Amino acid sequence: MFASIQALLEILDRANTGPVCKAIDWDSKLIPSEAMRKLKEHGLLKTFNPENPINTDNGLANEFYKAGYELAIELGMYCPDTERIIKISEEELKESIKNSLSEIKLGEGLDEVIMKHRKPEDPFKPLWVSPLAELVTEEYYIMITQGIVQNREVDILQGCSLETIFGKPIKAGTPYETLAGFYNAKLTKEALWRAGRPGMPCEAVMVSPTVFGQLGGFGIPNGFDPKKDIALVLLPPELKTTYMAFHKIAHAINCGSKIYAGFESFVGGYAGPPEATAIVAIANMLLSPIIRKATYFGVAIQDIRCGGNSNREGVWTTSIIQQALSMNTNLLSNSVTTELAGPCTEMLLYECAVTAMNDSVSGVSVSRGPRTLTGRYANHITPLECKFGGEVVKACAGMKRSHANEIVKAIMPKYEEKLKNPPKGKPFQECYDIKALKPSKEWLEIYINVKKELIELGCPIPL
Amino acid sequence: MIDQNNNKIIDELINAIVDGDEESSKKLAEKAILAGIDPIEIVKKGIQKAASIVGDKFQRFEIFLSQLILSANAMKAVMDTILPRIKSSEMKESILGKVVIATVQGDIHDIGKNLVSAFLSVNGFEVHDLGVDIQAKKIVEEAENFKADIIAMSALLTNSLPFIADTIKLLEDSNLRDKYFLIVGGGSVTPEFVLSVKADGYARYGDNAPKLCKKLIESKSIPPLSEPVIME
Repeated sequence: MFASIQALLEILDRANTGPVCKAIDWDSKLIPSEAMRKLKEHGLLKTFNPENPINTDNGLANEFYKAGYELAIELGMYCPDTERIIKISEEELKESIKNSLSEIKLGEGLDEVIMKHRKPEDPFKPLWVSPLAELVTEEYYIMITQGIVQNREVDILQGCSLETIFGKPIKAGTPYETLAGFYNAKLTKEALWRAGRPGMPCEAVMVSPTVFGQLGGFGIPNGFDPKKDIALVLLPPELKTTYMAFHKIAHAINCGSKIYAGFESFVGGYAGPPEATAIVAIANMLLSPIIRKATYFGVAIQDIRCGGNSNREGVWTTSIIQQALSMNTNLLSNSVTTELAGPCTEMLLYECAVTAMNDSVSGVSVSRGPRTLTGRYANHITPLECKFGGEVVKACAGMKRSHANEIVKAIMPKYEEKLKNPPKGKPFQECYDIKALKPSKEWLEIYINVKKELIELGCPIPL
Repeated sequence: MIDQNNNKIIDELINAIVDGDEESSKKLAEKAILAGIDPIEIVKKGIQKAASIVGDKFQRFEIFLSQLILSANAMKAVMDTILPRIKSSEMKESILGKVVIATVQGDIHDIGKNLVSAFLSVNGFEVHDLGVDIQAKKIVEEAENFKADIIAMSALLTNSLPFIADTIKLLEDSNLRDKYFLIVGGGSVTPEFVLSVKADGYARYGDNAPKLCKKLIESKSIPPLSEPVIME
C-alpha cells in the first residue's frame, strides 16, 4: 500500500513541477499539432476507411500503436489544475506496461468474474459492463438496476446516475452529492440483493461528478465495498488528469481498491480527424496505469458532430485503438459504446449490435454499454438492451474481423440517416411491465426481430 | 461597390480566416480598409462568407475543433481591426450580439462550450468565454460588466443542471432576467429541461448556436420568451 502511495506522490510531484502549459495551448495547439506530426511520421494520414468500419489490417493497427506509444512519451499528460505537463520516460512506460496485470478477478462468490487480456478474434468472451451513466429517477432506480443485473450477460454493474435524493436535486460538489454517494450505494445493494447477485462487482460511485460522492459512498461502512467493488475515475478529454480525479485515485489507494479509469475522446475534437483521435487515445490508455494507477481503463470514442460512436468514424477509430493495444500489450483495455437512439426502437439495437460486435472482434477485455440517447433522458434505459449488448459481445468472441465487418456494413445503412435525428423511443415505465420486470410485447418483438435479422446476416447470437 | 482588386483582397481575407491565420487576417483587414472598402462590406462579403465556409468544412470534417478555434481567433482579429471604423449606427450590422458563455458550476467539461464559442465568434458574435466550473454569481456579474445580450450556459453532467436553474433564479431575484436571453446546451440538457427552467433557447448541436442566437436577437422581444426556441 505504501508503495502505491509513494508512486502516486511521485506523479503528483511531476504534476507540480513539470513543464508549464496553458490549457488553451494544450487543447488547441499541442494535441492537434503533435498528433498530426505522428500521423505524418508513420504514414497514417487518411487511413480512415469508411467503406470498412472494422479494421482488418494488423499492420495498420501496429503502426498506430507505435505512433501512440511515441506520443505518450513525447507529450505526456496534462494536469489542468497546476497547468503543467506530467512527463513519463520511455523506461517508466515500458516498465508500467510490463508490470500491469493481464488478468484479474472481480466481485465475490458466485458473482465473481475474470477479466482477461484478449487478442483480436479471441474466443475468450469479453466481460460486459452495463449500463453507463444513464439518468434515472429515484422511483425507478432499484427496479431498473435489478432488471439489468438479473441478466447473466451483465458481468459488472457501473450503474445508473440518480437524478435526486429524496426529491432534492443532487448538485455537483455540494453536500447533496456527499449524501447521494452513500444513498447510491444503499439503493444499488438493495437492487443486487433483490436480483440474487450480492457479490456482483460494481464500478462506483456513479453519482460522483466531483470527489464528494466518492468520499460519501465508497469504502465507508455500508457503502460500496473496496474488496469487491472498483473505484470509478472519469476524466475529461484529451490526455488530462485533474486534481478531482487524483483525489478519487488517492481515496481508492487509501481504501485498497482497484481503479477503473475511463475517458472520452472526440473525433473532430481537439485531436482532429479519426486517425489523430486514435493516436491520442492510444497514448491516453498507455499512460493510464502509470499516471492514474488504473487497474484497467477504457475509452469512449465520440463523434463531436453527433455525440455517439455507432457511425463509421466512431466504429473505425474504436477498432484501430483496441486492436493496436490488444496486439501490442497485455493490458486490460475497455471500450465504451455510446448509442444515440432510445429504448423500444430498432435503431438502438442496431447501434448496440454494431458497437458491441466491433468491440468483441477487436480484442477488448471489456465492452461497456449501452449509453442510450447518450444518457441524457431520465429513465430511457431498460434491462432488455443491456441484455442484448451482452449477448452480442459474447456471441461474437472468436468471430473473424472480416466477417464482422461485412455484418456491420449491412446493418449501418439501416440507421445512418437518423444519426442526427435519432428516435427517442420510450422510457422504462412505458415499455416494461414494471411489476413483473418484463419488456412490453412491442419491445420484445422489436428485440426478437432484430435478433433474427442479425442471425440471418451471420451473427451467432442466440435467439 | 467593390472592384476587382478589392474582390481579391476580400477573397484573400476569407481564405485567411478559413485557414485560421490570425496575423494574415488582421493584415488583410487593414489592407481592405486602406483600399477604401466599406467595413460593412467587409463584414457582409468577407466575414459572413468565411463563417459559412468554416461551418460547411466542419460538418464535412475537413476542419476540426482546433482549426475552428483558430478561425474564431482570426475572425476576432478582423473585427478588432474594423470595428473602430464602423459608425455606431451601423454597429448592429457588424456585431450580431454580445454573448457571455460558461460551463456551469461543478462541471469541468469544455469541449461543447468551446465549440459553441468558436461558432459564435466565427459568425460575428462578440463572445466573452468565462471558462468552466463557473458559479451563478460570477456568470451574472460578468454578463452585467460585458453588457451581454445573451447568456449561454453549458452542462455535460446531470448533477450540474441545478446550477443552470440557480443562475436563472439569481437573475430573476435580482430583477435582471429581462436583460438577457438565456440559452442552454450540453450533453445532459433536454428540451424538457429548457422548458422547466424557462430558458429562451436550446440547440442540440453546437453549429446551430449562431442561428439560435440570431433568431433571439432578431426577435427584438424582451426576455424571457413565452416559448423557448428549440433546435433539436
